[in-house]
Amino acid sequence: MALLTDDLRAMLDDSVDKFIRDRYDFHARQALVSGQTGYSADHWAQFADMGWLGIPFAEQVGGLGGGIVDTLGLMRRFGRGLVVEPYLAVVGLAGQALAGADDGEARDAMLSALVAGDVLPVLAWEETASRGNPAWVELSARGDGGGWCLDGEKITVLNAPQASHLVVSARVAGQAGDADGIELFLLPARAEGVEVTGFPTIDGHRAGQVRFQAARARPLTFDGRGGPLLRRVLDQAGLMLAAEGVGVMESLLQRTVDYTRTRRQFGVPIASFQVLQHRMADMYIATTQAENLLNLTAARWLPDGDNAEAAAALKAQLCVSGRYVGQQAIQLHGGIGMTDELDVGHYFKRLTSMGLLFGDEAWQLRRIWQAHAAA
Amino acid sequence: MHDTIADAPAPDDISAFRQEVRDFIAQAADAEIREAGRKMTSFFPSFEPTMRWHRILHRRGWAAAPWPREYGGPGWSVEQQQIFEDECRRAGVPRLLPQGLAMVGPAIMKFGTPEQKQRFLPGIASGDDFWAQGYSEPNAGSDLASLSCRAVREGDHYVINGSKTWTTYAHHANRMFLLVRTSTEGKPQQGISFFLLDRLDLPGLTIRPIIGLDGFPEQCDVFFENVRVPLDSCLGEENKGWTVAKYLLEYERGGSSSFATHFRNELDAIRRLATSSGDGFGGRVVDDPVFQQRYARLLMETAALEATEVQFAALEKGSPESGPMSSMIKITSMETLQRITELAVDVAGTPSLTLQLQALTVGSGVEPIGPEEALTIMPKYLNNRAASIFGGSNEIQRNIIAKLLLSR
Repeated sequence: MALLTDDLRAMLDDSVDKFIRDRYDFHARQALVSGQTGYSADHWAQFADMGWLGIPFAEQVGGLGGGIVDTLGLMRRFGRGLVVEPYLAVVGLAGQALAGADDGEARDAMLSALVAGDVLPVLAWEETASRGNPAWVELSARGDGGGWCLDGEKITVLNAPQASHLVVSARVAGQAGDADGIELFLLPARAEGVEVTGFPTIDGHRAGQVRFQAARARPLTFDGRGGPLLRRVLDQAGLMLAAEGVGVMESLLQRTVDYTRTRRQFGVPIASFQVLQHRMADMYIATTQAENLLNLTAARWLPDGDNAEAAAALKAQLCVSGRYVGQQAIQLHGGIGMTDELDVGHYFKRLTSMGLLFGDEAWQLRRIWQAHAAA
Repeated sequence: MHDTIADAPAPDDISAFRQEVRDFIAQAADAEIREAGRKMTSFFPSFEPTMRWHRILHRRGWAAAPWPREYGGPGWSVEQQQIFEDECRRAGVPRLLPQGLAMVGPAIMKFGTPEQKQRFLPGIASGDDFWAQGYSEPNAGSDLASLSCRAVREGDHYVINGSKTWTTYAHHANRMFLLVRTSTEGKPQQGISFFLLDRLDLPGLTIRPIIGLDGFPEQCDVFFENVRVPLDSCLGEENKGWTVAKYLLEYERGGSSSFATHFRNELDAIRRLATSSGDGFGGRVVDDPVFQQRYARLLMETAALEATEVQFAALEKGSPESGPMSSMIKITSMETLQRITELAVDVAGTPSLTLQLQALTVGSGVEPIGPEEALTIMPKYLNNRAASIFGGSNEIQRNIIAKLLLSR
């Protein structure tokens, strides 16, 4: 459920629309993608000024006091604009993990700085063998005389090369796969014993592999609460991802409809061919089903409860709809859709990434079954 | 072309032949050529090492495998050609670029004058020349017959104006075959001519590479502004180029190479990756029944495709069934290929999202991030979205089949 007032949310939506319109045409976006840092620090400062970084955080840290559902309007618009700033990673993943931390001091200090745009914490949770399962944690945390040391490796850490801090899931007890025995830790991204191998990803974003060797870190959670918190954070992030995905899909559908109206072959617009009309009707169905499921899931979201089945169903629908809409958008554009020069291919690649992030379709279907069978 | 092919050799000779091919590839293909084979992410492997491999094979007399002996082919039987192809795939050497050997070469053999054959075929066979294919235009894709790139006679020259697009590796080419409009009378197909350009460093001709979804330039735009070419540039008769183009398209769509072997190799690679990949629950992906079903379905599709390929090979070119069957092969092979690349992405997981342009560049010496086996997976997925578009989109192929059904 949304926590902010309708008026405030409408205002936020308008401000994001204006930002995308004024600052984020495709060429400006591509310049950011090929630049050194992969995003704009100016934009980020603007996000802070506009209050966007504080949407889902408490007022005591400078936030707007909203919830994750209140970020969905922004995420949908970021999808339309193919925004590459690390909002999902910082606000959605690391920020939400910090907001749920047991260490109140670290939480408030980090979140105040995050909302002000002064720090960029990101979440390192995925490992080589985890494939979406956040309980598959091999990276270990050992306590030694009042401090903690991390050893292990994380992969596909979103925005790792740009991060100021890392929030890391680590095992303090049990074995990889156990739901218990996982805690979250905080450390600076350039701390001793941390090695970040950064790289661009196919969708114009940045990510990295991170190796930890006796890296000293501060615990954020206690008594095994890290595991459930991480699960909740990833489910929420799936909600944000779905909103972004709906924005991408509606953009692709619009572009495809426009293109088939103007592209002429055999003396007529190709939109006059029934086979392409049906394809676009199916793209519309796929997009709208994802959108409707997103809205219903958001309306029924339990901020502190178990959203497992609903979250998995939404992410699985995003995988299915996103694949169809992305692939057909390319197909109906033909050769021009295969080029780097047109935004269509970039929307497609973003959907491709979304399909794999936070657990792919197969993983989500498995979760649906598990949640369903257990109920 | 099959009329000049030698009689099938005896089984003993066949296994000796296979060994001979295998031994030659083992000693002749150097590290860079193999790297080009491993790093193939589309139908077009890295240009330089592939052409070098072409010239190496030519010196052994094997580059133009399906060609008749009189034009520089080895005179192999269909079985020998198949063995050669299998051994090449097994060794992982890059597939030779098809524009000369499998496209314009056969067209010149069928429609060329003795002078054209003598002038162009040796360079195609040897790999000294590389031909770009100029068919599609910005406004003539699926509707190829509506092409508008024009050639007008002026004295002892044609003057070409217009543009071509999706011309693979035109930026590497020294020659080009293209369809131009030489007449606007009659049906659109009737005023098209098939031109052979023996050089591309002509005044008014510019080539612009297009960056693809995978970040690499493979296709090009080619622009013609008052480009003057000699009158003997025509292959076949003026205004009869559509006949040549149709012959070539049928050649391109099916039958010129076997996809089944290639697909099995791709599936093998997926299986190896699935064997070494965790499923997130302490097991392996290869033991996941959902993976197994998807994999088995692709094996089934490959078996059915192979059966159709065999059927097609036995069919006479130009028979009423061969057009629709080549369309069927184009549809099924390319859609199966797309599903194979999709499964590979799912098995590779998020590491496939890493953009690795340098590691993918042959000869860069840059090590991949993550397993080498996963390096090419995402570029293959992205590039093969074009598989249902190029060579006549799959929608057009379905039209061809439907037309046959409804004409009965």
